[in-house]
Amino acid sequence: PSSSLEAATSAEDRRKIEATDWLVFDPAQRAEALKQSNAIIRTFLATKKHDAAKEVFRKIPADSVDLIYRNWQAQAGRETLPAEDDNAIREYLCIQAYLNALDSFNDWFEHFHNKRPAEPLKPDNANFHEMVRFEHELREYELELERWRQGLASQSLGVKERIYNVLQFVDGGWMMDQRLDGEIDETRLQQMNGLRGLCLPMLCFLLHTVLHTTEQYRECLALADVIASEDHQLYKVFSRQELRQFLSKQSESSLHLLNQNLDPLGYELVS
Amino acid sequence: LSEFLQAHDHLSWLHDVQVKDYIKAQGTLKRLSAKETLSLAKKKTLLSLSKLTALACDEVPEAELEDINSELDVILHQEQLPKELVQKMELFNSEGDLPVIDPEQLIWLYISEKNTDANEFDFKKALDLLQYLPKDDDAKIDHLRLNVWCKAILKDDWSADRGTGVDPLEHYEDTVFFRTARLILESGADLEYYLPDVDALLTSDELKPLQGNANFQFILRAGYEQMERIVA
Repeated sequence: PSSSLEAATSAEDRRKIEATDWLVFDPAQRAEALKQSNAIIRTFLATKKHDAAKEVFRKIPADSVDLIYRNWQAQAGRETLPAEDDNAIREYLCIQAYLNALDSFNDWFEHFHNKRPAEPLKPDNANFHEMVRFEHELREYELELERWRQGLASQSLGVKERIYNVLQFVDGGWMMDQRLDGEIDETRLQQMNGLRGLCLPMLCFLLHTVLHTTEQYRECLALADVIASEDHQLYKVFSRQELRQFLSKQSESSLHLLNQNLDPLGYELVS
Repeated sequence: LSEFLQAHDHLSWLHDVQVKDYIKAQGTLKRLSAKETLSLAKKKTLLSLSKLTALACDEVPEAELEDINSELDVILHQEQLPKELVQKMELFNSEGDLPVIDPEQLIWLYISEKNTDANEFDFKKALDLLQYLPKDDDAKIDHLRLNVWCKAILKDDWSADRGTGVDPLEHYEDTVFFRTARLILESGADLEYYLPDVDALLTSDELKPLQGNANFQFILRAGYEQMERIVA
Protein backbone atom coordinates (compact mmCIF):
# COMPACT_ATOMS: atom_id res chain seq x y z
CA PRO A 1 0.00 0.00 0.00
CA SER A 2 2.63 2.59 0.98
CA SER A 3 4.29 2.43 -2.40
CA SER A 4 7.02 4.92 -1.56
CA LEU A 5 8.44 2.31 0.82
CA GLU A 6 8.27 -0.49 -1.72
CA ALA A 7 10.41 -1.48 -4.71
CA ALA A 8 9.02 -3.84 -7.37
CA THR A 9 9.84 -7.52 -7.63
CA SER A 10 11.79 -8.44 -10.80
CA ALA A 11 11.96 -11.74 -12.69
CA GLU A 12 15.39 -12.37 -11.19
CA ASP A 13 13.93 -11.83 -7.69
CA ARG A 14 11.14 -14.24 -8.55
CA ARG A 15 13.76 -16.92 -9.27
CA LYS A 16 15.36 -16.36 -5.87
CA ILE A 17 11.98 -16.55 -4.17
CA GLU A 18 11.09 -19.80 -5.92
CA ALA A 19 14.49 -21.25 -5.01
CA THR A 20 13.53 -21.07 -1.34
CA ASP A 21 11.12 -23.96 -1.90
CA TRP A 22 14.10 -26.18 -2.68
CA LEU A 23 16.09 -24.88 0.27
CA VAL A 24 13.50 -25.98 2.80
CA PHE A 25 12.73 -29.27 1.02
CA ASP A 26 14.94 -31.45 3.24
CA PRO A 27 14.11 -30.98 6.95
CA ALA A 28 17.56 -32.29 7.92
CA GLN A 29 19.12 -29.30 6.14
CA ARG A 30 16.95 -26.68 7.79
CA ALA A 31 19.80 -24.87 9.58
CA GLU A 32 21.56 -24.40 6.24
CA ALA A 33 18.30 -23.37 4.58
CA LEU A 34 17.71 -20.73 7.23
CA LYS A 35 21.16 -19.23 6.65
CA GLN A 36 20.52 -19.14 2.89
CA SER A 37 17.05 -17.65 3.17
CA ASN A 38 18.32 -15.07 5.67
CA ALA A 39 20.93 -14.06 3.10
CA ILE A 40 18.30 -13.72 0.36
CA ILE A 41 16.06 -11.65 2.62
CA ARG A 42 18.99 -9.42 3.58
CA THR A 43 19.53 -8.43 -0.05
CA PHE A 44 15.81 -7.87 -0.56
CA LEU A 45 15.56 -5.65 2.52
CA ALA A 46 18.63 -3.70 1.44
CA THR A 47 16.85 -2.82 -1.81
CA LYS A 48 13.51 -2.14 -0.07
CA LYS A 49 11.87 -5.14 -1.74
CA HIS A 50 9.73 -5.87 1.27
CA ASP A 51 7.09 -7.87 -0.59
CA ALA A 52 9.78 -10.16 -1.97
CA ALA A 53 11.36 -10.46 1.50
CA LYS A 54 7.97 -11.38 2.95
CA GLU A 55 7.43 -14.05 0.29
CA VAL A 56 10.71 -15.71 1.13
CA PHE A 57 10.02 -15.44 4.84
CA ARG A 58 6.62 -17.10 4.44
CA LYS A 59 8.23 -20.08 2.72
CA ILE A 60 10.20 -20.92 5.88
CA PRO A 61 8.02 -23.37 7.81
CA ALA A 62 7.00 -21.95 11.19
CA ASP A 63 8.49 -24.89 13.12
CA SER A 64 11.97 -24.34 11.68
CA VAL A 65 13.59 -23.02 14.85
CA ASP A 66 12.26 -25.99 16.78
CA LEU A 67 13.38 -28.36 14.06
CA ILE A 68 16.93 -26.99 14.06
CA TYR A 69 17.20 -27.55 17.81
CA ARG A 70 15.82 -31.08 17.49
CA ASN A 71 18.13 -31.95 14.59
CA TRP A 72 21.10 -30.75 16.56
CA GLN A 73 20.12 -32.61 19.73
CA ALA A 74 19.69 -35.82 17.79
CA GLN A 75 23.13 -35.35 16.38
CA ALA A 76 25.12 -33.80 19.25
CA GLY A 77 23.12 -34.52 22.39
CA ARG A 78 23.12 -31.80 25.01
CA GLU A 79 25.84 -29.65 23.50
CA THR A 80 24.86 -26.05 22.69
CA LEU A 81 23.96 -25.16 19.13
CA PRO A 82 26.85 -24.10 16.85
CA ALA A 83 27.31 -20.30 16.95
CA GLU A 84 26.43 -19.93 13.24
CA ASP A 85 23.10 -21.71 13.70
CA ASP A 86 22.32 -19.77 16.86
CA ASN A 87 23.05 -16.48 15.09
CA ALA A 88 20.97 -17.51 12.07
CA ILE A 89 17.98 -18.22 14.32
CA ARG A 90 18.34 -14.86 16.01
CA GLU A 91 18.61 -13.16 12.62
CA TYR A 92 15.45 -14.96 11.47
CA LEU A 93 13.63 -13.60 14.56
CA CYS A 94 14.99 -10.10 13.83
CA ILE A 95 13.63 -10.32 10.28
CA GLN A 96 10.28 -11.50 11.61
CA ALA A 97 10.07 -8.56 14.04
CA TYR A 98 10.93 -6.13 11.25
CA LEU A 99 8.41 -7.52 8.77
CA ASN A 100 5.74 -7.47 11.50
CA ALA A 101 6.53 -3.81 12.21
CA LEU A 102 6.24 -2.90 8.53
CA ASP A 103 2.99 -4.85 8.15
CA SER A 104 1.42 -3.12 11.07
CA PHE A 105 2.56 0.28 9.80
CA ASN A 106 1.01 -0.49 6.39
CA ASP A 107 -2.26 -1.54 8.05
CA TRP A 108 -2.26 1.64 10.08
CA PHE A 109 -1.51 3.72 6.98
CA GLU A 110 -4.33 2.06 5.06
CA HIS A 111 -6.74 2.55 7.93
CA PHE A 112 -5.78 6.17 8.42
CA HIS A 113 -5.86 7.27 4.79
CA ASN A 114 -8.42 5.03 3.14
CA LYS A 115 -10.83 3.80 5.76
CA ARG A 116 -12.02 7.09 7.14
CA PRO A 117 -15.80 7.32 6.57
CA ALA A 118 -16.96 10.06 4.21
CA GLU A 119 -19.03 12.84 5.69
CA PRO A 120 -22.51 13.08 4.10
CA LEU A 121 -23.14 16.32 2.22
CA LYS A 122 -26.04 18.44 3.33
CA PRO A 123 -28.39 18.71 0.34
CA ASP A 124 -29.23 22.23 -0.92
CA ASN A 125 -32.89 23.27 -0.77
CA ALA A 126 -33.80 19.90 0.61
CA ASN A 127 -37.37 18.79 1.04
CA PHE A 128 -38.56 17.10 4.23
CA HIS A 129 -37.71 13.57 3.09
CA GLU A 130 -34.24 14.56 1.97
CA MET A 131 -33.59 16.24 5.32
CA VAL A 132 -34.71 13.16 7.24
CA ARG A 133 -32.48 11.01 5.13
CA PHE A 134 -29.56 13.40 5.59
CA GLU A 135 -29.92 13.39 9.38
CA HIS A 136 -30.06 9.64 9.39
CA GLU A 137 -26.89 9.50 7.29
CA LEU A 138 -25.22 11.99 9.62
CA ARG A 139 -25.94 9.84 12.67
CA GLU A 140 -24.61 6.79 10.82
CA TYR A 141 -21.55 8.76 9.87
CA GLU A 142 -20.85 9.84 13.44
CA LEU A 143 -21.09 6.25 14.63
CA GLU A 144 -18.80 5.12 11.84
CA LEU A 145 -16.34 7.89 12.63
CA GLU A 146 -16.23 6.90 16.29
CA ARG A 147 -15.60 3.28 15.28
CA TRP A 148 -12.86 4.46 12.92
CA ARG A 149 -11.23 6.50 15.69
CA GLN A 150 -11.23 3.57 18.07
CA GLY A 151 -9.74 1.38 15.38
CA LEU A 152 -7.08 3.99 14.73
CA ALA A 153 -6.19 4.20 18.42
CA SER A 154 -5.77 0.47 18.74
CA GLN A 155 -3.82 0.22 15.48
CA SER A 156 -1.52 3.03 16.59
CA LEU A 157 -0.84 1.15 19.79
CA GLY A 158 -0.06 -1.97 17.78
CA VAL A 159 2.38 -0.21 15.43
CA LYS A 160 4.11 1.42 18.36
CA GLU A 161 4.58 -1.89 20.10
CA ARG A 162 5.88 -3.65 16.99
CA ILE A 163 8.28 -0.87 16.06
CA TYR A 164 9.60 -0.80 19.62
CA ASN A 165 10.10 -4.57 19.37
CA VAL A 166 12.62 -3.87 16.62
CA LEU A 167 14.19 -0.68 18.02
CA GLN A 168 14.73 -2.32 21.41
CA PHE A 169 15.33 -5.86 20.22
CA VAL A 170 16.38 -7.92 23.23
CA ASP A 171 19.98 -8.67 24.18
CA GLY A 172 22.09 -6.28 22.20
CA GLY A 173 19.72 -5.01 19.55
CA TRP A 174 18.31 -5.75 16.12
CA MET A 175 20.55 -7.61 13.65
CA MET A 176 23.33 -7.96 16.21
CA ASP A 177 24.79 -11.44 16.71
CA GLN A 178 24.92 -12.73 20.24
CA ARG A 179 27.32 -15.61 19.72
CA LEU A 180 30.75 -14.36 18.75
CA ASP A 181 32.53 -17.72 19.06
CA GLY A 182 31.80 -18.95 15.54
CA GLU A 183 33.41 -18.38 12.17
CA ILE A 184 33.24 -14.75 11.10
CA ASP A 185 31.40 -14.05 7.85
CA GLU A 186 32.52 -10.51 7.01
CA THR A 187 30.02 -10.00 4.19
CA ARG A 188 27.13 -11.09 6.37
CA LEU A 189 28.18 -8.76 9.22
CA GLN A 190 28.53 -5.86 6.79
CA GLN A 191 25.09 -6.49 5.36
CA MET A 192 23.53 -6.71 8.80
CA ASN A 193 25.22 -3.50 9.84
CA GLY A 194 24.04 -1.86 6.64
CA LEU A 195 20.48 -2.94 7.37
CA ARG A 196 20.69 -1.42 10.86
CA GLY A 197 21.66 1.89 9.28
CA LEU A 198 18.91 1.62 6.68
CA CYS A 199 15.98 0.20 8.65
CA LEU A 200 16.29 1.55 12.19
CA PRO A 201 16.24 5.29 11.36
CA MET A 202 13.40 4.63 8.93
CA LEU A 203 11.37 2.91 11.65
CA CYS A 204 12.01 5.87 13.97
CA PHE A 205 10.66 8.19 11.30
CA LEU A 206 7.63 5.95 10.72
CA LEU A 207 6.95 5.84 14.45
CA HIS A 208 7.19 9.62 14.60
CA THR A 209 4.69 9.85 11.73
CA VAL A 210 2.23 7.59 13.54
CA LEU A 211 2.55 9.48 16.83
CA HIS A 212 2.42 12.90 15.18
CA THR A 213 -0.54 12.08 12.94
CA THR A 214 -2.49 10.70 15.89
CA GLU A 215 -1.61 13.85 17.87
CA GLN A 216 0.53 12.13 20.49
CA TYR A 217 2.97 15.02 20.39
CA ARG A 218 4.46 14.52 23.84
CA GLU A 219 5.42 11.00 22.83
CA CYS A 220 7.00 12.39 19.66
CA LEU A 221 9.38 14.39 21.82
CA ALA A 222 9.99 11.49 24.19
CA LEU A 223 11.28 9.48 21.19
CA ALA A 224 14.50 11.40 21.80
CA ASP A 225 14.92 9.32 24.99
CA VAL A 226 14.84 6.10 23.01
CA ILE A 227 17.26 7.26 20.33
CA ALA A 228 19.71 8.92 22.75
CA SER A 229 19.77 5.99 25.19
CA GLU A 230 23.11 4.25 25.72
CA ASP A 231 21.18 1.01 26.15
CA HIS A 232 20.61 0.43 22.45
CA GLN A 233 22.70 3.33 21.11
CA LEU A 234 20.29 3.94 18.25
CA TYR A 235 21.77 7.39 17.68
CA LYS A 236 24.81 5.62 16.25
CA VAL A 237 22.85 4.27 13.28
CA PHE A 238 21.64 7.74 12.32
CA SER A 239 23.68 9.81 9.90
CA ARG A 240 24.14 13.44 10.90
CA GLN A 241 21.69 14.43 8.19
CA GLU A 242 19.07 11.99 9.49
CA LEU A 243 19.53 13.26 13.05
CA ARG A 244 18.95 16.80 11.86
CA GLN A 245 15.84 15.74 9.96
CA PHE A 246 14.56 13.96 13.02
CA LEU A 247 15.14 16.97 15.26
CA SER A 248 13.30 19.13 12.77
CA LYS A 249 10.33 16.71 12.83
CA GLN A 250 10.36 16.82 16.60
CA SER A 251 10.35 20.61 16.65
CA GLU A 252 7.24 20.48 14.42
CA SER A 253 5.57 18.32 17.06
CA SER A 254 6.65 20.87 19.66
CA LEU A 255 4.87 23.66 17.81
CA HIS A 256 1.62 21.70 18.09
CA LEU A 257 2.17 21.39 21.83
CA LEU A 258 2.70 25.15 22.10
CA ASN A 259 -0.64 25.62 20.35
CA GLN A 260 -2.22 23.57 23.12
CA ASN A 261 -0.72 25.96 25.67
CA LEU A 262 1.78 23.39 26.85
CA ASP A 263 5.55 23.71 26.95
CA PRO A 264 7.64 22.39 24.00
CA LEU A 265 7.84 18.93 25.56
CA GLY A 266 4.13 18.73 26.35
CA TYR A 267 4.25 19.53 30.06
CA GLU A 268 2.20 22.14 31.86
CA LEU A 269 3.77 25.57 31.64
CA VAL A 270 5.31 26.72 34.89
CA SER A 271 5.41 30.45 35.19
CA LEU B 1 7.58 34.16 15.56
CA SER B 2 11.36 33.83 15.56
CA GLU B 3 11.82 36.96 17.65
CA PHE B 4 9.32 35.68 20.14
CA LEU B 5 11.04 32.29 20.30
CA GLN B 6 14.42 33.87 20.84
CA ALA B 7 13.18 35.91 23.76
CA HIS B 8 12.22 32.82 25.71
CA ASP B 9 14.85 30.33 26.78
CA HIS B 10 12.44 27.42 26.96
CA LEU B 11 11.40 28.08 23.36
CA SER B 12 14.54 29.44 21.75
CA TRP B 13 16.01 25.98 21.07
CA LEU B 14 13.08 25.27 18.76
CA HIS B 15 14.09 28.24 16.68
CA ASP B 16 17.76 27.19 16.81
CA VAL B 17 16.87 23.74 15.51
CA GLN B 18 14.86 25.32 12.67
CA VAL B 19 17.78 27.53 11.64
CA LYS B 20 20.27 24.67 12.17
CA ASP B 21 22.19 26.34 14.99
CA TYR B 22 22.62 23.03 16.79
CA ILE B 23 25.38 24.09 19.15
CA LYS B 24 23.21 26.88 20.53
CA ALA B 25 20.19 24.59 20.84
CA GLN B 26 22.36 22.05 22.64
CA GLY B 27 23.54 24.60 25.21
CA THR B 28 20.04 25.87 25.87
CA LEU B 29 18.60 22.39 26.26
CA LYS B 30 21.33 21.43 28.71
CA ARG B 31 20.74 24.59 30.72
CA LEU B 32 17.02 23.85 30.82
CA SER B 33 17.68 20.30 31.96
CA ALA B 34 19.85 21.56 34.82
CA LYS B 35 17.00 23.76 36.01
CA GLU B 36 14.40 20.99 35.83
CA THR B 37 13.62 19.54 39.26
CA LEU B 38 9.91 18.75 39.15
CA SER B 39 9.82 16.03 36.53
CA LEU B 40 12.38 13.30 35.96
CA ALA B 41 10.82 12.38 32.61
CA LYS B 42 11.02 15.95 31.38
CA LYS B 43 14.61 16.35 32.54
CA LYS B 44 15.46 13.14 30.71
CA THR B 45 13.91 14.31 27.45
CA LEU B 46 15.66 17.68 27.70
CA LEU B 47 18.98 15.87 28.17
CA SER B 48 18.23 13.42 25.37
CA LEU B 49 17.42 16.28 22.99
CA SER B 50 20.58 18.04 24.13
CA LYS B 51 22.51 14.88 23.28
CA LEU B 52 20.92 14.57 19.83
CA THR B 53 21.57 18.23 19.04
CA ALA B 54 25.18 17.77 20.17
CA LEU B 55 25.49 14.83 17.76
CA ALA B 56 23.92 16.91 14.99
CA CYS B 57 26.67 19.56 15.24
CA ASP B 58 29.29 19.74 12.51
CA GLU B 59 31.86 19.34 15.24
CA VAL B 60 30.49 17.23 18.05
CA PRO B 61 31.26 18.86 21.43
CA GLU B 62 32.76 15.79 23.10
CA ALA B 63 33.08 17.25 26.61
CA GLU B 64 29.43 18.29 26.54
CA LEU B 65 28.45 14.83 25.37
CA GLU B 66 30.33 13.26 28.26
CA ASP B 67 28.56 15.58 30.70
CA ILE B 68 25.17 14.73 29.25
CA ASN B 69 25.88 11.00 29.43
CA SER B 70 26.79 11.32 33.12
CA GLU B 71 23.54 13.14 33.79
CA LEU B 72 21.59 10.50 31.88
CA ASP B 73 23.34 7.81 33.89
CA VAL B 74 22.22 9.42 37.15
CA ILE B 75 18.66 9.46 35.78
CA LEU B 76 18.97 5.77 34.91
CA HIS B 77 19.98 5.10 38.52
CA GLN B 78 16.87 6.90 39.69
CA GLU B 79 14.66 5.01 37.24
CA GLN B 80 16.06 1.77 38.60
CA LEU B 81 15.08 2.49 42.21
CA PRO B 82 13.07 -0.51 43.46
CA LYS B 83 9.34 0.06 42.82
CA GLU B 84 8.40 -0.91 46.39
CA LEU B 85 10.81 1.66 47.78
CA VAL B 86 9.48 4.41 45.53
CA GLN B 87 5.95 3.60 46.67
CA LYS B 88 6.87 3.33 50.32
CA MET B 89 8.63 6.69 50.25
CA GLU B 90 5.73 8.22 48.26
CA LEU B 91 8.13 9.73 45.77
CA PHE B 92 5.66 10.06 42.89
CA ASN B 93 4.26 13.49 42.18
CA SER B 94 0.68 14.16 41.18
CA GLU B 95 1.29 13.34 37.51
CA GLY B 96 2.65 9.87 38.25
CA ASP B 97 6.08 11.20 37.42
CA LEU B 98 9.08 11.37 39.75
CA PRO B 99 10.65 14.59 40.93
CA VAL B 100 14.39 14.78 40.26
CA ILE B 101 16.50 13.33 43.07
CA ASP B 102 20.19 14.27 43.30
CA PRO B 103 22.96 11.62 43.43
CA GLU B 104 23.56 12.00 47.17
CA GLN B 105 19.88 11.51 47.96
CA LEU B 106 19.78 8.54 45.60
CA ILE B 107 22.63 6.92 47.51
CA TRP B 108 20.76 7.37 50.78
CA LEU B 109 17.64 5.86 49.21
CA TYR B 110 19.44 2.82 47.86
CA ILE B 111 21.01 2.03 51.23
CA SER B 112 18.06 3.11 53.35
CA GLU B 113 16.51 0.65 55.81
CA LYS B 114 13.25 1.22 53.93
CA ASN B 115 14.86 -0.58 50.99
CA THR B 116 14.22 -3.83 52.79
CA ASP B 117 15.25 -6.17 49.98
CA ALA B 118 18.45 -4.30 49.19
CA ASN B 119 21.00 -6.64 47.64
CA GLU B 120 24.50 -6.34 46.18
CA PHE B 121 23.14 -4.64 43.07
CA ASP B 122 21.58 -1.86 45.14
CA PHE B 123 24.80 -1.32 47.08
CA LYS B 124 26.85 -1.34 43.90
CA LYS B 125 24.52 1.28 42.41
CA ALA B 126 24.93 3.42 45.52
CA LEU B 127 28.71 3.18 45.10
CA ASP B 128 28.51 3.89 41.35
CA LEU B 129 26.71 7.12 42.18
CA LEU B 130 29.66 8.40 44.21
CA GLN B 131 31.38 9.46 40.99
CA TYR B 132 28.59 11.95 40.31
CA LEU B 133 28.99 13.89 43.55
CA PRO B 134 30.76 17.26 43.41
CA LYS B 135 34.42 16.36 42.88
CA ASP B 136 35.78 18.92 45.34
CA ASP B 137 34.25 17.40 48.45
CA ASP B 138 36.41 14.36 49.23
CA ALA B 139 35.35 14.29 52.88
CA LYS B 140 31.72 13.90 51.91
CA ILE B 141 32.49 11.20 49.36
CA ASP B 142 34.56 9.27 51.94
CA HIS B 143 31.80 9.62 54.48
CA LEU B 144 29.14 8.35 52.06
CA ARG B 145 31.29 5.49 50.86
CA LEU B 146 31.85 4.38 54.44
CA ASN B 147 28.13 4.57 55.09
CA VAL B 148 27.27 2.42 52.10
CA TRP B 149 29.57 -0.35 53.29
CA CYS B 150 28.38 -0.11 56.92
CA LYS B 151 24.80 -0.53 55.72
CA ALA B 152 25.84 -3.45 53.53
CA ILE B 153 27.53 -5.12 56.48
CA LEU B 154 24.53 -4.54 58.74
CA LYS B 155 22.29 -6.39 56.25
CA ASP B 156 23.62 -9.64 57.69
CA ASP B 157 23.68 -11.11 61.17
CA TRP B 158 27.31 -11.53 62.18
CA SER B 159 26.69 -12.78 65.71
CA ALA B 160 26.09 -16.43 64.94
CA ASP B 161 28.97 -18.85 64.62
CA ARG B 162 28.91 -20.02 61.00
CA GLY B 163 31.51 -22.70 61.56
CA THR B 164 35.22 -22.84 61.01
CA GLY B 165 37.50 -24.80 58.75
CA VAL B 166 40.48 -24.41 56.48
CA ASP B 167 38.85 -21.41 54.81
CA PRO B 168 36.58 -19.58 57.27
CA LEU B 169 35.74 -16.99 54.59
CA GLU B 170 33.73 -19.47 52.57
CA HIS B 171 31.01 -19.43 55.24
CA TYR B 172 30.52 -15.72 54.60
CA GLU B 173 30.47 -15.75 50.81
CA ASP B 174 26.75 -15.12 50.64
CA THR B 175 26.74 -12.05 52.89
CA VAL B 176 25.73 -8.83 51.18
CA PHE B 177 29.15 -7.40 51.98
CA PHE B 178 31.09 -10.11 50.15
CA ARG B 179 28.57 -10.35 47.31
CA THR B 180 28.89 -6.61 46.73
CA ALA B 181 32.69 -6.80 46.76
CA ARG B 182 32.59 -9.71 44.31
CA LEU B 183 30.21 -7.84 42.01
CA ILE B 184 32.59 -4.87 41.90
CA LEU B 185 35.57 -7.13 41.21
CA GLU B 186 33.70 -8.88 38.39
CA SER B 187 32.60 -5.59 36.84
CA GLY B 188 36.24 -4.65 36.47
CA ALA B 189 35.73 -1.45 38.46
CA ASP B 190 38.51 0.03 40.56
CA LEU B 191 38.13 -1.77 43.90
CA GLU B 192 40.46 0.63 45.65
CA TYR B 193 38.15 3.50 44.81
CA TYR B 194 35.10 1.56 45.83
CA LEU B 195 36.36 0.16 49.15
CA PRO B 196 36.93 2.32 52.21
CA ASP B 197 39.98 1.96 54.44
CA VAL B 198 39.54 -1.18 56.56
CA ASP B 199 40.41 0.53 59.85
CA ALA B 200 38.06 3.40 59.15
CA LEU B 201 35.34 0.84 58.49
CA LEU B 202 35.97 -1.22 61.61
CA THR B 203 36.13 1.79 63.91
CA SER B 204 33.12 3.59 62.42
CA ASP B 205 30.27 4.63 64.72
CA GLU B 206 27.76 2.71 62.66
CA LEU B 207 29.54 -0.56 63.32
CA LYS B 208 30.05 0.02 67.08
CA PRO B 209 27.81 -2.95 67.95
CA LEU B 210 30.23 -5.19 66.02
CA GLN B 211 33.45 -3.85 67.55
CA GLY B 212 33.42 -6.46 70.27
CA ASN B 213 32.80 -9.24 67.78
CA ALA B 214 36.27 -10.72 67.25
CA ASN B 215 35.03 -13.16 64.65
CA PHE B 216 33.56 -10.36 62.54
CA GLN B 217 36.73 -8.30 62.82
CA PHE B 218 38.79 -11.29 61.75
CA ILE B 219 36.56 -12.21 58.82
CA LEU B 220 36.46 -8.67 57.49
CA ARG B 221 40.25 -8.21 57.67
CA ALA B 222 40.74 -11.62 56.05
CA GLY B 223 38.27 -10.62 53.33
CA TYR B 224 40.18 -7.39 52.66
CA GLU B 225 43.46 -9.29 52.43
CA GLN B 226 41.98 -11.73 49.98
CA MET B 227 40.62 -8.92 47.78
CA GLU B 228 43.96 -7.13 47.83
CA ARG B 229 45.62 -10.35 46.65
CA ILE B 230 43.12 -10.67 43.79
CA VAL B 231 43.60 -7.07 42.68
CA ALA B 232 47.40 -7.21 42.98
